[in-house]
Amino acid sequence: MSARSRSFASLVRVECLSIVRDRRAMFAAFVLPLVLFPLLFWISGFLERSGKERMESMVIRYALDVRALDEVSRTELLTALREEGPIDERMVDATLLCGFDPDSAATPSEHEQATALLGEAELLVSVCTDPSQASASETAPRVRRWLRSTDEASLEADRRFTQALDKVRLSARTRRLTELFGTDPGAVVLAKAADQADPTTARGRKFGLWAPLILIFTLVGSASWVALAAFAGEREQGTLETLLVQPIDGRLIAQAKYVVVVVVTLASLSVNALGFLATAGLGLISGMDSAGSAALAAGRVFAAIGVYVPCVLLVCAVLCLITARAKTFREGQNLLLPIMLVLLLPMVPLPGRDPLLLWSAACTPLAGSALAVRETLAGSGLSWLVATACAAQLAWAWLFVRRVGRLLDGERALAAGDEEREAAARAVQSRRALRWTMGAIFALYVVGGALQAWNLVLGLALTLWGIALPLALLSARGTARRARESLGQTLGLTRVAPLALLGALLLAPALALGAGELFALQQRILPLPDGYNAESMLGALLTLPLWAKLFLIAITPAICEELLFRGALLSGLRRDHGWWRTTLIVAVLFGLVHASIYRFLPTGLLGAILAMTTLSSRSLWPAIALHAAYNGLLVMQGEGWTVPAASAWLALPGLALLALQLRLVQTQDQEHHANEAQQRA
Amino acid sequence: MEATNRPAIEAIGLKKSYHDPKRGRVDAVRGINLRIMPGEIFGLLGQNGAGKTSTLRMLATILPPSEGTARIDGIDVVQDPIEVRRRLGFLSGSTGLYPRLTPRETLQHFGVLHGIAPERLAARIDELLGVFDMRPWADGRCEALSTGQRQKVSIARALLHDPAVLILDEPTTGLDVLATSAMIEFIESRRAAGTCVLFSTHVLSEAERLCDRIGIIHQGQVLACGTKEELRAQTGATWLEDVFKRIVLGGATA
Amino acid sequence: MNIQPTSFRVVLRIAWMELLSSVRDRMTVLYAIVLPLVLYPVLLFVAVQVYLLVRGREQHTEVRLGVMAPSDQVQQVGTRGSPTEGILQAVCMRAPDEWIPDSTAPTDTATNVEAVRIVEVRSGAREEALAWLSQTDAPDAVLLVGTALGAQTELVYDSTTERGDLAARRIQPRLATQAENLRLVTAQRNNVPPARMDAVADGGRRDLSPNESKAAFLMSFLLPMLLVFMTLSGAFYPAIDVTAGERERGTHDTTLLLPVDRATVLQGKILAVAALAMTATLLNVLALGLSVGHLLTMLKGGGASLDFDVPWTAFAAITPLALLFAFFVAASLMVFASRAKTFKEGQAALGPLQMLFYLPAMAGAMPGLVLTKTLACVPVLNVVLAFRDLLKGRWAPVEYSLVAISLLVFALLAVRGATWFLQREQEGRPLFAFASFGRKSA
Repeated sequence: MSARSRSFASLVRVECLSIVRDRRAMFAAFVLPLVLFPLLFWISGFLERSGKERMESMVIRYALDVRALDEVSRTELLTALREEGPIDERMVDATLLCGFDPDSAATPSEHEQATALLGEAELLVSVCTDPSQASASETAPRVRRWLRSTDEASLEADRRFTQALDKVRLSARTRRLTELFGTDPGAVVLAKAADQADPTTARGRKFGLWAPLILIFTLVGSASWVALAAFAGEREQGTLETLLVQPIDGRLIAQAKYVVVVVVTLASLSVNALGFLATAGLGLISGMDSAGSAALAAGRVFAAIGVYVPCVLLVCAVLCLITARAKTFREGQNLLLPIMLVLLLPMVPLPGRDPLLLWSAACTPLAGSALAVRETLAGSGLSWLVATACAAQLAWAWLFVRRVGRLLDGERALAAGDEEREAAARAVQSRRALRWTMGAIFALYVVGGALQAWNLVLGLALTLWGIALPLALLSARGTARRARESLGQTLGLTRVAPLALLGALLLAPALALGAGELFALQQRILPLPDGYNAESMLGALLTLPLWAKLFLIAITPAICEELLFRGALLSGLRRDHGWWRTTLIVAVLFGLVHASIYRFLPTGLLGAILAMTTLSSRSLWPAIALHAAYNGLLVMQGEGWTVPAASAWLALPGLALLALQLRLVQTQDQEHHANEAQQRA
Repeated sequence: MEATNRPAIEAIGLKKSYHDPKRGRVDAVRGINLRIMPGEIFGLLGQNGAGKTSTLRMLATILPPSEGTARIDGIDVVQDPIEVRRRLGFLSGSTGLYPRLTPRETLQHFGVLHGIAPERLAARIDELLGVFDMRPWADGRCEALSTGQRQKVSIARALLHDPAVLILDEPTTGLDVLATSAMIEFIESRRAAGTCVLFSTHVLSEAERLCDRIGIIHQGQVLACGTKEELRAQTGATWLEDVFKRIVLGGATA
Repeated sequence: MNIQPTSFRVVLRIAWMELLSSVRDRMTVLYAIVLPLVLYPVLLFVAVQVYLLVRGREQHTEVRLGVMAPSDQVQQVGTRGSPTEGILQAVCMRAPDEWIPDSTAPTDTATNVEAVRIVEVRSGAREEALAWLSQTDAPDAVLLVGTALGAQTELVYDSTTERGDLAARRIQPRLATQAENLRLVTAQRNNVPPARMDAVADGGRRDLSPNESKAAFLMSFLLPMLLVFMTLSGAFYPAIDVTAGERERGTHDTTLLLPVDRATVLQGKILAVAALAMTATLLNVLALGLSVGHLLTMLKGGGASLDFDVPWTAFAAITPLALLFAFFVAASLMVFASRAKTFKEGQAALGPLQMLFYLPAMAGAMPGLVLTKTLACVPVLNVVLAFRDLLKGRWAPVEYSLVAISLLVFALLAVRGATWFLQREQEGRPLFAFASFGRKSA
């Protein structure tokens, strides 16, 4: 063996020894799962069973008035009820209740009388015939019930009664139909549904719903303490410096630690899987009883873990990268909680089996592994989908594993020069602006949403003028103060930039037309569910007079949203970032604030264009003008006007004007700098 | 002093600056020049924050210098750090031990990392265990050892590969009387072994007792450098304490 | 347990000091205040968007149906006047000439909501239908029809395939509607009023519970467990921080040197931790309540009729018990945390301890358990059951007082235990264990 591989082996060995000799950690990671799994399942199974038994053996008291039913049905009903469980029936006289109309809302007097009749019983049943019909034999007697939904026994009573009633109704109808027509005319259509699903596959699919969630929990749980021990622990113990003075490449050390983290995590996962299988083998998991299915399950469970390995590699790398930044164990722990949440989200099962969603999930980090696990558990592990998912996950893992090598760079490791913190310290302005904007988005979503639910028109106005505008001003004030400018200067209101203003206005028709096209395109890939189109959402807004609509939908957002996003946010970001990054962040946040996945792309693009306008003209007015014109055109389109297609060509002179304004601003800047330099000289 | 051509430790214009988020740019080391010969014991005296640790770390190849060059045994620390580390032994106050390993396993591990061949390594470990009297407790966990015992293990580890140069960063800080005494004896013993020792301290009595030459470092620069006699002559003071104060507060240059 | 009036002020002072230092820690602010407030709205928003996304796509997914009939009747499937015409029209919800649309024409997504398209008509019986399903270009489901009157149709599908489940969910209700239509048509033809077909009609049901208690009842299933979890996680880190964390930072000795009774110091710390736990819990509950309320108002606006009012009285009833519980949790966690020397040790000690809280909490969420006098004395279980019963509006003052008393007793026992540990520590066991040789250099 070469010296290098011997060193690697010794590093791995020392790390493993340190971990294995930590008895408490070993116990928690390897022994506890084997004990806890069966225990937990046994306890929950026991509780569930005893709860169910208790429910089924509960004596339910019924208050019944079934005189209006025919003899046969009455007997059937009582027999069916008794079959459901022990009952205690009491016959009452509920004729008074028949006077109330079952189809309209309950009146207080109905409540009163029903409660009185219900008394101590769990369910009150009354059968009434409609007195308004000429002959009683024309209409069927209606069975009505009263219950207390806050009482578990009452709910159980209703459940049992409904089942019994359904049986009675079915047989009564069949009898009646045979009586009338000789046969049931609908019987020819009544389709039997024959589900060909393989029960193991079905069970595997059900299990697969929550298996990835459990896997990620276990994974992060085991990987995090190993990573913490390996990286942050090294620093805490004070052994890091010694390691760095050894004549070996720092990359080797990091890689050795990474390997240990992966191996221990895989071992821990396997032990957990064994615990789960042992539980299944002991018959403690409902639905996995026979030994045959348990064997099959064992094979699939381990195959699922095999398929999950790329995810393990990825998560271990991510955790190593994170814990290496922590100076103490505690700091490392603090960083882990948000990570846990972020890692949890992709594991949530997506309902339905939409191909587009499936394949895009396969290529997404983490979600792809969840998908692969689910497919394997459901028995279709050998498919292109799973293979693609694994390959994609490996690619993602590789991206992160590559960076693990640089983790133990001496300078960074000893925190003498923390480049991240340094960069962060310099970006104070933009972070402030970002924080304000995130807070604003949150407030707009939560408070604004509530306001708009209460009253759409007033709420919208209040949200924009009362929340967005003040927050924009407050946020910009801090930026202005730090830059020693006036508020107007920071927000870009002082410079009018007439060329850009005109240019922006000329862009509006093209954008309005483009919006229509974009939306149609989006509808093909991301169709809106039925009932969620624009009309249903905007409801009350559409009934306003035109001027009010223009004010509320065109002018108000133009002013308030621009001040917040292109004013406060953009000016804060501009201090620390270049054009492209600023535009990107502004566009993304603007898209997010509209709180709908269907509006994200259109509003995001609009946000980007508005940001570019503002950046190129150093003035907010063109953006306000464009936004107002764009929204205004959309409102007019809603009124029935059509924007002529030819007007899209106006965009070209518009862009030209904007470019011209940009040149003008740049020349002005150069002159300004030259003057300053001259003055200083 | 035996004149050999090549200095064991050489630093030319060594500089180091950091970016502290609160204080902005910090120049920890502002140009240090050192020439330490083999077999010499050199003490770096200075206050906390004077730049001792940064200098030593640069020489030990843990930190890259912002400017300047350093050479250990003629080898540049930036161009071939791994070769440098083969000839270097490093000990600092924060040099800890793996709590759940035994001293023997620790020595074995670092021996392998140094690339010592397995047969030679076993013999060497045995030798060190004997020299430092570690055999009775060589197979118990490090976390169960007393301070003095841990010190011995750390020293053994630093000497495992028989380095030509030893760099010690405040080796006696936080130790009790007996442990400090043991450390001082150990450093003295290196003179006989012909190892060059560079150590930093702010305890003047140690410097007085051990050093062939002393360098006084203040605010990232070496203000004075020389034997005790030379420094006394330079400042006109007798006690090292006064020498130090006059140099640091007076700002006299070497 | 002697709590003198004057030393109680000291307790408050120490508690205040601990709280101040915790609140100034950025991490604590982030996790105890920002995170609970932000988490639930964000999660709910994401859930709603994902739901819309999936539903939208599902609705616009076309189900491909294969039709199979006995060989002698294949030609007449779907022809005008045949029994199958009605069935197929009901399933596809289109006019007959549009059943097997031209596959080259683009599908109109706007009108193509919940579409079912017949891809092929073949001859055969059940075995052939099963075989057809397992072929490579199989339809999502196969409808077996017999054109003679009296023969039943059968819908064959596989719920684990990509669209089999969707096909079944879409087609079955339509078949049921068609059956009903046939009955109505027959009734009309024979001059029978439709209502006569039903021998027994369902008149619906009415709920006699007041609206407030409905919401409370729904919450009574999850909220108790949630409250226990949140109190626990709110107290976890502060408990370790205030004991082991202090030791790590080295300020532990300083606190012990104050001319104050050890027990007082401990009580102060417990109070601080309890206050933090309470804050975290309240914020979580508030955020959750607001998010769910927001969601409900959104659904209300969408036309759904949900009669829910926020049960403020129920919340008011829970609060005193919740406060006592927070105190109990803080005290219990501190007993174990105060033995730890480092943060890591503290975590290792408290981690498994959490199980002791989680298991009873989960048990209490199972239906069927009722708060009895005996159960009222079991620490965590009693709180969960009491919360549940209070939310359901049950009036049982004896049991609730028992719960309160038992919580208090256990908490005080815990405080006593922690004090005892502290005394032992002073009597000679070393306070620090060297985790590393020497200390970090300057």
